[in-house]
Amino acid sequence: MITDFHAKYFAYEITKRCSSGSVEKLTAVLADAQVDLNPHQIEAALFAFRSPFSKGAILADEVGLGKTIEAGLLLAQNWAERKRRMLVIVPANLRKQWTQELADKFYLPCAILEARSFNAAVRAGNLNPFQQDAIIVCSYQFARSKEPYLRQTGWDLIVIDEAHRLRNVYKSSSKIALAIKQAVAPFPKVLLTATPLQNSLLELYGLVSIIDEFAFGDLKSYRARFVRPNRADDFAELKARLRPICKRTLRRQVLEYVKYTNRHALVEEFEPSPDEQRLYDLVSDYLQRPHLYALPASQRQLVTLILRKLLASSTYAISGTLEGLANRLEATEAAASPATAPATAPAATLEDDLAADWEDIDELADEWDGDSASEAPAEDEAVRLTPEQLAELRREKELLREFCALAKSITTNSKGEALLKALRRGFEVAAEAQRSQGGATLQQKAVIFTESRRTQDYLFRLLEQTEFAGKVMLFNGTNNAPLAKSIYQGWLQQHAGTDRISGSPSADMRAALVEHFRDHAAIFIATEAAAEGINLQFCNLVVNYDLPWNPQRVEQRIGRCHRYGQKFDVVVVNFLNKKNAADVRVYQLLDEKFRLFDGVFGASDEVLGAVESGVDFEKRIAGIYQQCRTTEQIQFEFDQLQLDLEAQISSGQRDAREKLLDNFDQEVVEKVRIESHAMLDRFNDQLWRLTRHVLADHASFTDDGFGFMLHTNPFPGETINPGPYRMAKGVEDANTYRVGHPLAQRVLARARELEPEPAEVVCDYAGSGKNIAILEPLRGRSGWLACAHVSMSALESEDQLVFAGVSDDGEAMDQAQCRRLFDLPAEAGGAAPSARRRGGGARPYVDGQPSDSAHRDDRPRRPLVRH
Amino acid sequence: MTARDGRSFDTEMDKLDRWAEDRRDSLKAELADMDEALKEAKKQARFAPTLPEKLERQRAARKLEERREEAWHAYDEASRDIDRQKDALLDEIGRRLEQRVEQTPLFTMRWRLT
Repeated sequence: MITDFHAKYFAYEITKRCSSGSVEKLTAVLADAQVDLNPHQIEAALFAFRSPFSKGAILADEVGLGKTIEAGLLLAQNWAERKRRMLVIVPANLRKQWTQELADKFYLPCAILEARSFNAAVRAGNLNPFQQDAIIVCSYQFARSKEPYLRQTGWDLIVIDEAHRLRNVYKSSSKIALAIKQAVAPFPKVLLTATPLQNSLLELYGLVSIIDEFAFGDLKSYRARFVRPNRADDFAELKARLRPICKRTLRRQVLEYVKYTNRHALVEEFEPSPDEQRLYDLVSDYLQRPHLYALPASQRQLVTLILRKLLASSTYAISGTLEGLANRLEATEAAASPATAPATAPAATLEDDLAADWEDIDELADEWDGDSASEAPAEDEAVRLTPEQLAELRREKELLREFCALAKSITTNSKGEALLKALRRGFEVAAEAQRSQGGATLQQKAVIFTESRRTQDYLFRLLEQTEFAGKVMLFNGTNNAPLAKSIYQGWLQQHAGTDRISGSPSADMRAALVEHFRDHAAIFIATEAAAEGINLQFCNLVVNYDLPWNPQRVEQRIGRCHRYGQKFDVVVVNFLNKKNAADVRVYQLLDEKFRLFDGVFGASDEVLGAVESGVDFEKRIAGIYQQCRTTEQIQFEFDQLQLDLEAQISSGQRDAREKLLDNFDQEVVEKVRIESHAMLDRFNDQLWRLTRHVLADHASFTDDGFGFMLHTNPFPGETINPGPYRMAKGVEDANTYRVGHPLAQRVLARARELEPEPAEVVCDYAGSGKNIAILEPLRGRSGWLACAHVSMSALESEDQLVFAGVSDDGEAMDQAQCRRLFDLPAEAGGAAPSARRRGGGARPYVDGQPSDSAHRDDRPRRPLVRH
Repeated sequence: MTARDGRSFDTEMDKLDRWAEDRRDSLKAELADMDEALKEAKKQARFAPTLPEKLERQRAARKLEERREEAWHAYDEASRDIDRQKDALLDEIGRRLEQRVEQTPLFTMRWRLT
């Protein structure tokens, strides 16, 4: 039980502004977050803006320590302070993951900006779509192309993920990096990277200069003094200058807070049937031709890559696409042929065609385009063809039809057959991992990744004929299969009336499907594009049915399962076509050089960081496939690639990085851990007691689980969800009651407005079961107490609640005593003293002194303020 | 509050001092390089085999001299620029340091502890 006084005090405590160095500042955000935060993450978030002069920081933790969460804390804190202009710049393939994490963990609304959504917003009347009531997430390329819009938005905070992409910004040749640096220069920002320097200490200069131009004089003096720091004091000086800007935590430093699991690889080898091999050779030869009518020159590279990947994926994937190409040529032929009436040009562009099967095409195009501004796909097919060209085109069309017929005739895919074997093997190893790591019940779950929709459908049909029938489900960009729809409907019913339903059908569909996989299904066949950003840490078997060449993408896939919260070792199954020399070499590179499939963290920072962008690596492999015709050529080119890669990796400045950036302090982190726990307990306790008080007449409370349900609307005239509500993390069967929830915000506002008449409050020490030493001397006594809200603004604004208290026998109480008094259960002890005096009732006397004679004048006294 | 702000302030000023030092170092290095080049150019002129060539080389040396003069000015300007930056920072901090305190009484009550 508490009184209005308590409620008002708690409400002010909960909503007060704190100074930026203190753990207290983040308490509300920590209480709101749907994830248990580790102390090093809290410390990193505090670090970034500890100084009121800070322009930001580089958070350079090793992979797997939750840099996203650190940035999320900062974003959430700003959001809570109503600073709403925030931007997250990330590689295109991480955009969805960011929005999902920020929404799931911090309840932050996000909007992805890309050409399509940007133009739509402009058409809808928002002339600068970067200004929205949401956190903006966009790719590097997009940020660069919309630089002027970026500049004219007054950002409160900019987060740049995978910021090592900017580490060459000190070179005038890094166009994208320079453009981004200039566009974001005036704003506070946080850079996230696990590899702040790879090849040269100059890279560190580059990154630091993005945060703060004044940390180092200029490139020249930096180079002279720091690039090869010979003298110990130069090194020490460099370290000292980095200290306020750069923070790095290593995994081994936080082993006691974070548990990591391992990763194992299984390779399933297969040999294509003679027909499959023939199809491969034919299509491969076709793709190597210098000129093709079916592939416009402007998109040749990209489309070739996709065709190769589809060819390797399944005969179903390639046959559908080949058919599309042939149809397009037919349409072109008809349009160009003078004999027929001008036919309608193909309605869909080639890209739209491909996108129906390959969902990732937009993103891939975004990455591959890089510097060239996205030119409008010119439909230049109307160009007149000579009769010879027309004949050639016709022959090409016939060829495509032949390939297509061949592909269609192959109904049994060797790789598909291998899948069953691989799944059974994989389940065995995954189960073994669960058993040895103390899994209570065995979870037979696997996620299968493919890049093609058609392959996805094929795998579904295939698995439905096996022992997995009825436990297989699909996950893709449209999710419009009947099974998905019925899962979605069931989910809607189950969660009707709760906050779990976001109102965005696509987001809800994704949540419903993931939940269905977790609770019911065994095999989750996902396209890569759709699976971005979803969290499957309850599943420890990952099957790469087809393998991306971009190592960063592979890491992303595995990271869906091998992530924070995974309890068991993760098993990764890959397929290897033994007959294909290039495939074998690609796999070897990904496995041995990038170490993607084994170890505690998969690809190490060293290696993933070595390739500035995985796209370049992917392009290079695509080039080898495209140019090499013999096995010798292939081997030679891959040897070359491997040498280059090794050079990049070995020149890594691991030592310098460790020594320069190591400023981890175990004591600080431990202190943060203890402080944040204490703060959180107190915060939640106050919020809960205050809520019970304010909603006492409107809700029925359960004492055990911090739950309640509204029976009447406490805020008539407003739409309030009746609940049930529960204050906890990971609540599934009720709305999560948390400080950021609209209901809690209303409750707090109401409590702040309370104007309790002066009254007596009886605090029950004996019955509280608490042992508060500083209150012991006050037992059996009484007195006066006043509370004031003091706001101070100097370098930054800060609120404090200040008490003045005195006992009736004239002893002053200190701040801590006054504060702790409110920790006790209490009730209003009858009428206000003044009324009581008038009524002549018994007044509390202590040591025979009437309370009012000594202190009547003190009652309205202004509290003394010291700070 | 003030102690912590004081520390931040020191850190910030130190940073600017070091920045200024860096900039001066590299400007000085540039000047030294030019001095060196000028010396070399004059020497070349002295040992020119023919008069027209000497004239040519003297002219080149003069050009260098001019450039060096300009660099001196630039250095001077940059030094002043650095000082201005520091002044601006001081002003900014001075402005932000003006402390405002507002106080609102929330409630007064009697208490009794049992």
